[in-house]
Amino acid sequence: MRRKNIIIASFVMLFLVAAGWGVILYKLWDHKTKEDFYGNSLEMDIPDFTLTDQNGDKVSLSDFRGEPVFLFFGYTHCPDICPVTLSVLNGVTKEVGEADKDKFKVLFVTIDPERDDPETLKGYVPYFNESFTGLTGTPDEIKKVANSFRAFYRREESDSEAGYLMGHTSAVYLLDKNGKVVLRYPQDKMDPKSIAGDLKKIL
Amino acid sequence: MKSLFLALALALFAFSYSHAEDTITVTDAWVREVPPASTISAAYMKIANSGDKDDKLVSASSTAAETTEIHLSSVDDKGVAKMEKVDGVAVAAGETVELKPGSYHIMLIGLKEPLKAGENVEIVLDFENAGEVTVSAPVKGMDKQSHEDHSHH
Repeated sequence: MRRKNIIIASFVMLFLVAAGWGVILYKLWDHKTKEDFYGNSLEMDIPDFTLTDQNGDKVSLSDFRGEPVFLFFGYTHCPDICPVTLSVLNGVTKEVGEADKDKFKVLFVTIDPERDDPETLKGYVPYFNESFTGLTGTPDEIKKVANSFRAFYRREESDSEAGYLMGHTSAVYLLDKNGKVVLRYPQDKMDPKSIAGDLKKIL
Repeated sequence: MKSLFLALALALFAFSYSHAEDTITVTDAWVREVPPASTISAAYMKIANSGDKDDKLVSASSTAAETTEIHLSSVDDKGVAKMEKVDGVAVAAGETVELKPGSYHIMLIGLKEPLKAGENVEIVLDFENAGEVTVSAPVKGMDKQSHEDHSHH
């Protein structure tokens, strides 16, 4: 009887020690994976989509398998947050270095397809960097893409002479080589050097 | 005697006018260079009010654009950015307000010529108390636009 108790007690002790180690190891691992990146971790599968680029060509997300992709939703009539964000992404191409600057893509998806036709995008997106791709489509196509990123946008009527303005999700998404969203950069995480650091880790 | 009086009154008026204007100091003004397809841009600056009276920037105008408006960009807690037209920017006595990316800015709508880095844009600011203040804002190309404000808030 007493012997049985000792055995049970031993097992309980062993279990507790093992569980304790498990917690410690998990915390270490968790800490490591979470702290490794500057951007906010976000795991999201994106169904493939096809839109039209600034040259009028059809472009699919799956065309970029094998290289990381930065994707940003914006519109060309946006004079403040969109140009700042595209300048930051241009900064990332500088920070990442000569050897890696062609190993990833930047996609600017308009959420204002009514005004942003391919021609308008052509006079806007390449200004920031020749390698950047501007994408437009029908309002339905755009809506579907935005929904798969859980991105939000809304037309805001105003008495501004600039016409209507758009409210839109202003974060930049980083997709890995398999086309899966892995990181998200909100507007308070727009340091090109740190973003380039994240990019190098997934190249 | 009468003309002397008038001259004195005029001098006094001129003095008080320039004095009023002196309460507002604008520094670090700049305008964003724009992609060729853009007909809109934004101007940024620091506005200091050294006077003892609260003031407010109520409007602006520029020969570079058809229309000039004051806008406010903001990002809500869900990360949704929006921009709205506002009726002015308050500059409290003794305070400095910064018009910067992601916040208040002066919208230049309907640019008459595309803005190129190195040019200067003249902007006339109209204040409730200080009256008109003219600033000459250099156009900055993409590489010179600071993102410091972005990495610090």
